Amino acid sequence: MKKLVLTMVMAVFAVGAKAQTDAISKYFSKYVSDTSFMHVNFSGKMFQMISRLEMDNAEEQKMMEESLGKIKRVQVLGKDKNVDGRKMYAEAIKLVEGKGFEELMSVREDDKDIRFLIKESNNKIDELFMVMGGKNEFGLLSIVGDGIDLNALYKLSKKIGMDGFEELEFLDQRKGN
Amino acid sequence: MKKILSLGLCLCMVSFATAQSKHVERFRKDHKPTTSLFFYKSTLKMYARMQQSLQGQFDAEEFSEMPQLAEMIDGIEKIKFFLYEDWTSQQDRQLFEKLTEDVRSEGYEELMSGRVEGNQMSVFMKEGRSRPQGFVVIVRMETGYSIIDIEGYPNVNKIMKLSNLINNSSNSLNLSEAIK
Repeated sequence: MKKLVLTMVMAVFAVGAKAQTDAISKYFSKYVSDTSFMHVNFSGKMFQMISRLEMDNAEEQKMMEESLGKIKRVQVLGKDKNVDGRKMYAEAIKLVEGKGFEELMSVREDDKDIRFLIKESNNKIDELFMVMGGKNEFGLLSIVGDGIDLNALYKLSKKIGMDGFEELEFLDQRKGN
Repeated sequence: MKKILSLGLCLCMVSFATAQSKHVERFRKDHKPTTSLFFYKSTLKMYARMQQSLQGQFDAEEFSEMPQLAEMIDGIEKIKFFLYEDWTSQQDRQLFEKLTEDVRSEGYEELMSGRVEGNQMSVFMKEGRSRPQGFVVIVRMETGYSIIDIEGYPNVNKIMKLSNLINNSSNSLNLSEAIK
């Protein structure tokens, strides 16, 4: 009987987790067809490939293999003109509120708000959701994986000059790297 | 965001390869492209030799660590490029959607897709024995479509080294900015 209850509890959690991901996916799908939005989607396969690259030193090699290979999907959505960024920011935040996401950090910079939210399981980050909204700009970043090392992702983006991950810079400062 | 797309495109091209898409070839035969370009290993080597020769004219120390084009493209066997200009009708769109599905049915997996300033790009890769065999890139522009079919892979480590070298050596000569 205990097993049955446990299984049911786990099933409820699993359904809950799926619902959260679906909510974000639906949000992305809502704007993906709007050609005025910039949208980029990287599959997990891409990160598996990157994780196989030969790095300069053993530490970087380990970081690549152990962290990036676990990323399942990265999506970026954005618009920097003719957009009510504040309204979209509020809409996006409402979407994830009370759905298992914890706030990692929030920043008010110039006239825009940036918020980082994460979803963890077993002390590992399974999902990062970053939303940025300003007077006339809006941006969304979603990283889904199985134990994501954000610091590794930020370091990689810096190393190869990949745009879009600059907002993760605080991770570098936080760890004193 | 062009930087992400460009780097993404570079990063998708890792490992071994010996395949090009049959459906892309069939599509080309059924629908004549406005422009067709074929780059074979010999053509690519020729470009690499030209780069080496030009570089040799400058005796600057900073070039000594720069990866050679030959090293970057060593794994590429063939590149096909097809441009379809003025393909803007709904029917054209449906043909390309069908091609995308056909490419998927051949075992190509989507590595990335992106839309920047109205241009849509999808990158597919086919693997065999856990190694990439080929890549297909389909780009939808305002004025038409282009297809890039690659047999082989560039040396991504060398490309990253070059990117790093350029980014570090000069603030005014930044690869990321150049790709913008």
